[in-house]
Amino acid sequence: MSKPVKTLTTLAACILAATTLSAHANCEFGETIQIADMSWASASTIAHVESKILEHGFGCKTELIPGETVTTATTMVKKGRPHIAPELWSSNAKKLLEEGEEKGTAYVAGSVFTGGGIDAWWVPKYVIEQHPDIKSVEDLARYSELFQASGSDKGRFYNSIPGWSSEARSTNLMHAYGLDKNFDVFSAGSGAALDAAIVSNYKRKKPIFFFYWAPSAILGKYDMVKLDMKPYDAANDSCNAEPNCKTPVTSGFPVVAVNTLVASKIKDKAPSIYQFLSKVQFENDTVNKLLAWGEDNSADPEQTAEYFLKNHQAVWTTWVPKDVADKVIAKLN
Amino acid sequence: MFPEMIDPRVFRGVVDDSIEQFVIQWATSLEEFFYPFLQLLNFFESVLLNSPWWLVVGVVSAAAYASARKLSLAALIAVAMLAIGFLGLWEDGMRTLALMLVCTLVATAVGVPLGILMSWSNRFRAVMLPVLDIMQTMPSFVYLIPAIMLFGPGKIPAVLATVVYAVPPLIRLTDLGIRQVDDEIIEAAQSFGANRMQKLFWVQIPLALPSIMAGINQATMMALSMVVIASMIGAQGLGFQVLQGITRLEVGRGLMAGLAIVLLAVVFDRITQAFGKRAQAHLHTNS
Repeated sequence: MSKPVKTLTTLAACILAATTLSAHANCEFGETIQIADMSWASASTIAHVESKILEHGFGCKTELIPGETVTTATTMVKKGRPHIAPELWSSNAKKLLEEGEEKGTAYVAGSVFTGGGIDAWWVPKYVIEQHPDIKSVEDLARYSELFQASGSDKGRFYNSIPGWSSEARSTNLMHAYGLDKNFDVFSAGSGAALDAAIVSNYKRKKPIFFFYWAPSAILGKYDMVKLDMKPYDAANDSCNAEPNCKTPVTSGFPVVAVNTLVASKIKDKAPSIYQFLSKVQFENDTVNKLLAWGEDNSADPEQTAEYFLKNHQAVWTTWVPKDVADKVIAKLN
Repeated sequence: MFPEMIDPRVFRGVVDDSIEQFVIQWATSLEEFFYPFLQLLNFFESVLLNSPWWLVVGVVSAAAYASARKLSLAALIAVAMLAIGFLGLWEDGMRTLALMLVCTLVATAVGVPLGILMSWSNRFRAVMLPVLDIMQTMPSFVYLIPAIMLFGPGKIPAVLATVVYAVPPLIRLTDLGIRQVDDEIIEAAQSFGANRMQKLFWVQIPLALPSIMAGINQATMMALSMVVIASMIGAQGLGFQVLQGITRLEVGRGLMAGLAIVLLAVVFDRITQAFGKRAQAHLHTNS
């Protein structure tokens, strides 16, 4: 090997070593921390918030891995990776969470939303203003023609996203409330398509009847009214949650525990990081407003996360020790 | 880091606002304008769904026989169609078949004339080539989300997405086929006093037919590869079964629906290929 090349290689090796060293300088966890970056705005924003605090405050290297609820929970429980799922809706991966707890591969560190996750059926507020007698889901049976889609004589109910257990629940509840006689249970196919349909109808002040969840950008930004249902009944719900439930019975949606799921490796090796993750918690209203800010300013989740860290210091500084918080704040300015 | 000269959010904001205004102004009338088209789609679907299964299998294998004049191919196609039924996916298969038929019709109606125009004018060709590149590479969700806001989720944006993705090879191959027609043959036609249209319909298209059929074949294959994307914007059918399978981690359901898509692809491929081959053979016997 000629001399200049050799020097160059050494130099490169040194730089490489230096960067890896500095990245892991103080990190309690020896390797890059993988955080699941879910496809919807709130989860992605929280992933970025956690990533920034871990990088700037704890001196760790992080990596965001795109994921979906069921796939992420599965790989975490079976393989221990990614290491963190910041917003895991337990209702959509119930069995996997139990399995993780049992096998000791992934733990629920804490719940992300103080109010829990709200699943419900919604209509825009202007629909209620025009038809004030719509209060509960049963009332909608009389108004199906309001929600008619072109080419169909039934109303259209926009169902939850394929694969979520709230999809099966909604389908079964439509049957239980007898609404499927007047409504087509329609799947928009993906979160993006469902959002586009809701926004398009809202902007034109057209009626739309849909499943959605809170906290979320859509419900933070647009004025929607939650339709009353019968109270949640655990016994009825266990059948309703199954896609092939034979005899659905009326019930409400459960308030969902939305969890931070953490792989056991972090819990064992890096207790202070686990401690931080278990404290991560948002008021539902904060999240709704934060996401609405993101939509209004067409900010991506990373910019929204930065906005949150800068403007809501009272919230997140309680999650970490003072010295860590100071490091993050120093980086922000 | 690349120096930030202008805030990209301004650009994004402008695009977002204009889309929003467009949706408020035009979405309702666009929906009404495309309503007949939706009816056509629904008509195709209901014909296929309401016909008895043996009739559908019979018609499809008859089409296979008509295209190839081979009983073995007709039998293979019949087996493939029956297999979709055995997998328990007949209804979804028919929905996908209806969507694919409409997409193929639209792609042909749009693609062949555009290909002919491209072969006539070098300037038009120079404009079209980058457009075709964009159509083939632009991630479909980028234009699908505005399309959903305009047409609502469902079959129309699904057809739009599928055609945009599937039509470029047909356009390219039509252009190529017509350009490759022998100059001497064109001269001969001209010396007999053929005008442009006579030349096109009696000389160029027949001679370019194998190439055009290859384009239609490619278009159908690419259209089938879009069925999962189509299901993500509200189209029912096999793609939706795949989507449900993968999101619920029901590998079996996903695999079965995936296999059914492959079977449909085989059916479309063999029939269109046989047409192409026969067109080619026809040319050789006549020349």
